[in-house]
Amino acid sequence: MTYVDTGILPRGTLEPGRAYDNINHFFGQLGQVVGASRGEAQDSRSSPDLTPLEKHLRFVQDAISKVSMHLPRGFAVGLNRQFANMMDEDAWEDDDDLVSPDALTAFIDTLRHTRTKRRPGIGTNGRGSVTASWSVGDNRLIIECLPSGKVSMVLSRRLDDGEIERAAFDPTRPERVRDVLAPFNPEVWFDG
Amino acid sequence: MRYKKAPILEAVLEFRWTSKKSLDELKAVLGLSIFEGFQAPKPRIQFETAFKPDENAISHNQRQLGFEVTLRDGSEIVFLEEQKFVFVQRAPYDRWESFSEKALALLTPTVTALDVTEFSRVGLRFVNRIDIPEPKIDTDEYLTVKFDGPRLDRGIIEEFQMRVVKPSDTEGLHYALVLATTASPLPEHSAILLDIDVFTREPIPATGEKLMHMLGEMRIEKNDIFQKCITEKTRQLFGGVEE
Repeated sequence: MTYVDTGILPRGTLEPGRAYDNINHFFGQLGQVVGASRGEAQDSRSSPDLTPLEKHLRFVQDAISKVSMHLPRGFAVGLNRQFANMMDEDAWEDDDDLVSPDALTAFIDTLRHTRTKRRPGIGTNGRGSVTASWSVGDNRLIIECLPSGKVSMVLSRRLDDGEIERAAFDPTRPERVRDVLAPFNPEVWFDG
Repeated sequence: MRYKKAPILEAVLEFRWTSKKSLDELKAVLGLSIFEGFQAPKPRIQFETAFKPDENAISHNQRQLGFEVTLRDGSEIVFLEEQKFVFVQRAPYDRWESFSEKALALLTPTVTALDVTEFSRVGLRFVNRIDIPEPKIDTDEYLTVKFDGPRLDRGIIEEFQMRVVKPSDTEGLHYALVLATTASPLPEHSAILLDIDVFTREPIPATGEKLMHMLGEMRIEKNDIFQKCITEKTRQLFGGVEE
């Protein structure tokens, strides 16, 4: 008897760019279960010789691509380009931690929950976070998406009388960002 | 018609031929100027594992089938293998005109360089993932394809996977349709995979009017299958139609 484990795909999240391979592979395995006297697991995959940074960039771009339909038009392409620049082999510091998956999820959730129409600048603190920043004149907002899945915020905001107010917030959940920023009229950053 | 939030995860055009091309020939093609915007080719490896219960043995084998090139922003991928060319447009998908133009702009010089005059199979495949903002769903509300099993039992279907391959009403076309529940990347969401692969089985010229006409037919067929698989409730998830 041949046992082929078909319990993983496609129940798991599909990887964009690899759905072509993954779905073929899953149903290929199902076909081999029936009447197989000899089990064969067959797979086609891309290069095993990607550098760790290239593999991680692919992971980041996949994560953004697969939620692109829930982001404003043009966001995903722009963000994937920004991450490619940030994670370029020549620009990346070897000592820096790669972007944490939970920090990336927090970054994507922040974009969705703030409903921002402006694409942020991005960066990292070298400890796995993703930093998203919006700057409009004297009004600056930096949201640090942390490996814990939470986000911390720092902002400076010009008031009507010209005074600049500054504030910082301890880590909170991405879905709380818009509410926390409400007293500062966050549309100045998010509504382009 | 173009949905504002089209659920397309991946759009793929695949062209197969019968004569095997060498890795050297394939690599030379990827050196053409049309591939300048792509990153350096990576080998595409096939891994095989065979279990032989009679001999109580397991054997492994790996073989390079061809190459893969990707744009730096990850939006487009080309697989060039011994017997096929595959163009993958990853989400976000824009529109048919730009998708097919980009694919053909790469395909035409490729088949000319490889001296491929005829395709044995042409496939147009759209992988859709429909995200539904509910943690549990009754799939009957979102899909027109229903499970008509031997028993009713209680409750709703919790998971399913289905693949059907059959000829289309359109002469010369067949399709493979995959419907399955899958995980959504969004929290508190369910998702349905709707994978439509429309393909030919008869030889078709590698360039020219006949190929273009067939691609147009395949697109119409793909759109029709998609629309006929989903309900109005599903359409409402796509944010309306763009002018």
